[in-house]
Amino acid sequence: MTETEPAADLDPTIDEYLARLRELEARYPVPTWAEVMPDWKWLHEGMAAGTFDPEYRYGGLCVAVYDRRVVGTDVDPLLLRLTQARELGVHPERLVITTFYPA
Amino acid sequence: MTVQNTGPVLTVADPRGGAVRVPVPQFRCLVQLPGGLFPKDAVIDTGAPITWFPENVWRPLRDGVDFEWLGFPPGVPPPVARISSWQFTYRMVRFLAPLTLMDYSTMVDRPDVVAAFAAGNPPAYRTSKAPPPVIVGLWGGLLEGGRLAVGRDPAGGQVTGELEFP
Repeated sequence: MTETEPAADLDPTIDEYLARLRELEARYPVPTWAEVMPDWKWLHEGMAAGTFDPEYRYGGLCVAVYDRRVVGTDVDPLLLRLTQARELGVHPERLVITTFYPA
Repeated sequence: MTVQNTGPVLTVADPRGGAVRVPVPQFRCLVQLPGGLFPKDAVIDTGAPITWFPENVWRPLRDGVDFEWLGFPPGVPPPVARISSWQFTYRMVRFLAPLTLMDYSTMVDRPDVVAAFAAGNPPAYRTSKAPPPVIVGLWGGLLEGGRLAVGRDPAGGQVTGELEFP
């Protein structure tokens, strides 16, 4: 392989997740930034105020936020997006996914 | 542009009496990537020399449309980097469309950004800790020209941050 052929040494599981997400995205209306932004704002304001996770129990985890609440956690952001979008019946990009470093 | 901080708060004993709360802050921002529907969250890391993208973030981007590879000289293997407990090799890229740093009221386009795309997955990707989000480092065009002002909220004591591009 050469350096200009980057795909060959990458984990195919990510491609598989992305394909599943694209399939799921096709079933739902594309969300708008006006719909998603309030969840980012809720998350960031809670972080800034120290009220979002004062005990830092989400350290080392990916967290999914939807409608100003935590709807799920996982160590894999793609799996979390896929799982929660399926459970909630929403476009995967409607979810806010963030990651917290281990404590 | 307001950057957000997060992290655990440690409590240590104060020999003068009582305890001292020690925040372990990170500054977060949002980065809009070319072709992406919505921005991704990122850590502004002034200790990071360059900007890093984990594979799950960069993989949907289009080679030749959103970015182009910047090859190392022939015979030079991709270097190894380490972030937290994640050790990985990486390749350099140049974005072909501006990246946008943003918060809820401000958007700052950053053209010609050069960054690193991590190759492979963290060893503990599926079994232990979550991978880091995008790391916004010093060089490469995202932070250059900006000023990061670090302060402390007088009421709650939390660390505050403002990223300005004069």
